[in-house]
Amino acid sequence: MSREEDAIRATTRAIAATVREVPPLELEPTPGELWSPVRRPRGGRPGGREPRLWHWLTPLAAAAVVVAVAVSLVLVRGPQNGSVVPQLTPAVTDAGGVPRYYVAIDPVTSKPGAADGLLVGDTFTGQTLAVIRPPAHMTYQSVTAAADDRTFLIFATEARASWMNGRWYKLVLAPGTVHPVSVTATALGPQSGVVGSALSGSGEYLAVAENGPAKGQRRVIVFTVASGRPVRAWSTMNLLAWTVIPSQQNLLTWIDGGRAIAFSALDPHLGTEIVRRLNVGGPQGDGDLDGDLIADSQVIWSTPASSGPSCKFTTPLVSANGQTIACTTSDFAAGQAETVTWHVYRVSAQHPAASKDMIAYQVTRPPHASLAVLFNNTLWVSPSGSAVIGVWASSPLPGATPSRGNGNGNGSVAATLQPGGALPGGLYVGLMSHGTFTPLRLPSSIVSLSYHSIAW
Amino acid sequence: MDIADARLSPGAAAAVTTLYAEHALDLVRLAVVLTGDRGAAEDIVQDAFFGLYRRWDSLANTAAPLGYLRVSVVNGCRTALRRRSRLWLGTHADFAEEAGEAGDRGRAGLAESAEARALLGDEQRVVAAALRKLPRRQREAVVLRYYLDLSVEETARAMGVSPGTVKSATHHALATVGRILREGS
Repeated sequence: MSREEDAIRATTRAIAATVREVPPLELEPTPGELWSPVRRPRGGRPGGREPRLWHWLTPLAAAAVVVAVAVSLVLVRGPQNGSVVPQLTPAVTDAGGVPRYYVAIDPVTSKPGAADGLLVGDTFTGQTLAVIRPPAHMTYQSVTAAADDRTFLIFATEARASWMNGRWYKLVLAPGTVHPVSVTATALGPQSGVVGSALSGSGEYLAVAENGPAKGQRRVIVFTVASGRPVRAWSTMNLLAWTVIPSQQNLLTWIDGGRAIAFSALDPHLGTEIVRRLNVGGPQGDGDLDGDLIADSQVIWSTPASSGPSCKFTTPLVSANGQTIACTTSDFAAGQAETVTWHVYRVSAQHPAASKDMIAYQVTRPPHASLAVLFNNTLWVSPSGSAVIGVWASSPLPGATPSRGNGNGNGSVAATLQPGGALPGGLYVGLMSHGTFTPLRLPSSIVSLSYHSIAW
Repeated sequence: MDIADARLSPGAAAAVTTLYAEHALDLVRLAVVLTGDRGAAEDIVQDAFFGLYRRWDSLANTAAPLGYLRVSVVNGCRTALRRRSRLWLGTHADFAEEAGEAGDRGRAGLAESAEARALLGDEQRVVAAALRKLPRRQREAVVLRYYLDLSVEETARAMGVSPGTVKSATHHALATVGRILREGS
């Protein structure tokens, strides 16, 4: 037993010993709940947080794991060239309909706690067009894009405030001009409880998913960007309305040319991911600000009940035309190979659970490899489903016997130890299509790649 | 199974309540060690037991509910911590700073409490600070391994990772704690 182990044991037990009692268990369902039971939030605690009733589905919490493991990327990003990678096709030039420009949340400095700025880049050339600092005492949290590849809305919060409370800024690209990038405040007022957002393809409307203001309330509000006025709103007290993962997610996607919004939700019976379609009702809707989020929407896709891993640990990503859905699965058992798969499904509103998947790409970590696949996600999917932008990361395991890299083009991940003992592992983001992986050239400063932190 | 069935499941509430009486204190303590936030810890454990109750009839192995609860609590702690820190702060996260923020909201983390300060010796305060500075995965691994005395395999199941990852995380965590202890001595 080492000194460190003894010290940790003694310290953690001393900390634990300060807890001597627990409150009583509460199992009563909330009256009027559409899909009971749901644990009633405990009230009265000073400074109490919003209820986290969504915890009751363990897979949702597990989804947070997928997000949280990205912290490890900081450790392994340095030796990019030392990473274990599959054989790669040349860099993306203009494939799969990927928009050329992206905006990503980007740390201004590497200093812990520093505010986050924006990085505007060219997907095809890897060129950085601009790096933008946040307003004073603010930090950028999320980004959503219009279809023109020029217009983006950015959600910014006070640096030390909740990630859900902030205001919107508009970023406009004008490549080749004197001012290629401009960021301006919008007419949209301060918002709170924001957990998801989507800018319409036209850039005219912003759909926002909110928690609150009432406890347990879920709302989708459509604002006109120009005036900041809400033009449609739906709400529900049904906590299954969407998966609340602790950061802004791809909860919302404008589909059908701005006539509808797709949002991720949970199957009330199975607890698996589903996608619901919410009809907006025309370019500006009918002005109804009191819609029912559940009653006014219909299921257009369900996690297939077929055998094998499902997408329940990741939020499905809907294409802009609403016809394609992508998600990742991870098939893993201790001591066995780990396979991460990027699936693409065609939407069928008539048979939402019967969709057959296509595999865009697979990464397999052999058993006993000296690497672990830490993180995987889907960032973008083309309308046809022929291309996906996916991301994954690997990390080395200490003490493992290194072997030579043996990527075979099918995404097989093997272990490689670089000359000089540099740690293998790294972050891979690229275009996935029919089993091939084409890396995107993103600046090394970008270490956070989740749905909300980059937009094309 | 329809969710409504779970509510009507005979005996589920009684069984879960009994389990709560037996294990809630230990699980809250685990969550406090992992999050440093008593309020969050209580909520996380409540949610874990509610999840068990809701899924009682569908759990394939209700003979081992503690494993399910432990996984739920670890996952809940991750979520709580994730809400308080941005993604890329992970390896540099100054948890003390986070605890200070929590304190500003009226929910002081344990590390900031007078009780903790009084109870922890000098070396333990150094170790507590070192643990708070560890990346989330490393902190989980050493807490599960040395606070709960779980085996590598049990820790891996609780964290939802491979045993190799547990070994890796533990190795790095011990190295970090050892370095900090040496610097402090």
